[in-house]
Amino acid sequence: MPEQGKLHRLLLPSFTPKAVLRILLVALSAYVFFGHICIPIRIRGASMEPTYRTGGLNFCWRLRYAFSEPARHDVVFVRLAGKKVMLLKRVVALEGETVEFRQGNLFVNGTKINEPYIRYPCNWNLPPRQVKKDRVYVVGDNRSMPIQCHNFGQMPRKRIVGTPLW
Amino acid sequence: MVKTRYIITALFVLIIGIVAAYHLLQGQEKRVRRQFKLLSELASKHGDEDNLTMARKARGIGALFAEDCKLETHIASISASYTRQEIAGLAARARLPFSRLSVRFYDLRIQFPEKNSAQVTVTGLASGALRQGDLVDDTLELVCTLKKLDNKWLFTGIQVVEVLEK
Repeated sequence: MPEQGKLHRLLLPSFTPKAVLRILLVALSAYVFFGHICIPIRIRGASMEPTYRTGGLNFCWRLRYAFSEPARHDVVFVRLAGKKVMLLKRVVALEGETVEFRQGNLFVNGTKINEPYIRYPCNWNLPPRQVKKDRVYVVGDNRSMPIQCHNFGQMPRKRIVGTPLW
Repeated sequence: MVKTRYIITALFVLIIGIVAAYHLLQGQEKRVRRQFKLLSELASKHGDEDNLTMARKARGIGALFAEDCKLETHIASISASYTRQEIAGLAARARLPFSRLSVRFYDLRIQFPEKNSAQVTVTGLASGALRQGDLVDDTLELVCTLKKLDNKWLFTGIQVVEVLEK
C-alpha cells in the first residue's frame, strides 16, 4: 500500500502552488539556458570534416568570448543569417594580419602555419589579403573541394556567436 | 479638482494615442510581412508549371516591386537597378531551371525609419532541385527596403549581405 501511494505521488503529483512554481522556474531556466546560453546545434555540411561531421550534435557555448577574444585555431559559430542560421568555421587569422594560401598551405604574415587538423589534401592558391579592422578570417577544415566551392573569408568579429562545447 | 480632471483626461488621451499608434504600426508591420509571404508563394514552385502559370507568377512577382528597384549582391553582373518588368523577367529566368523550389523568409526584423518607408532584415532560404537533379540549398541574409506607394508596400531595394569576404 505505501509503495502504491509513492508511485501514485510520483506519476500523478499534486499541483500545489509550490510545485507549479518549481515547474515554471525549471522551464524558464531551461528556456534561458538552452535558448540563449548553450544552444543545441545540428551540424549540416562537410566544410569542417573530419573535425565535425555532418549530422553531428553539439552546443553553441555563447559565453566563451564574454571575457576574451577569439584566437587563431579557435573553432567558432558565425551568425550567417537571422538568429538560427550559423556557420561552423575555424579562425585562422586576426585583425591586421595578412592571409594567403600557396599550394594548399596557409600563410599568415608570410609564415607558414602548422594546421594538424587538416586531414584531406588541398591545393588552394589565394593571393595575400589583409584582415580588416574588427574582423577575423575563418576557413573550414575540409579544403578538399575547389576553392570557389568553400565558403570562407573575413567577417565582422561581432558575428561570432560562440564556440562548440566539444 | 479641475486640475486633476485635466490631468486624468490628458493621461487618458495619451494612453489612447499610444494604443492607437501601436495598433497602427502593428497593422503596417503585418502588411509588410504579407508582402514577403506573397513573394514566397509566388517564387516557390511545387512541380512542373505550364507557361501560363509561370507567366502569371513572374508578373505577380514584378507587381510586388516598385517601378525602380535596386538589387545589390556580390555578383556584379546582376547588381543594378531594375524596372518592374525587368524584375518579372529576371524572376522567370531564375525559376526556369528548377523542377521544384521553395523560397521562404523568416526572422523578419522590420523597422520604419521614415514615414511610408520600411527596412527589413530577413533570412531568405531557397531550397529545391534543378531539372538535372542537382539539389539546391542556400541561405542568405537580406536587407530589403520597401516604400508605401498607392497604399501598397512595394520593394524598392534588396541587398544581399555578404558575410564572408574571401
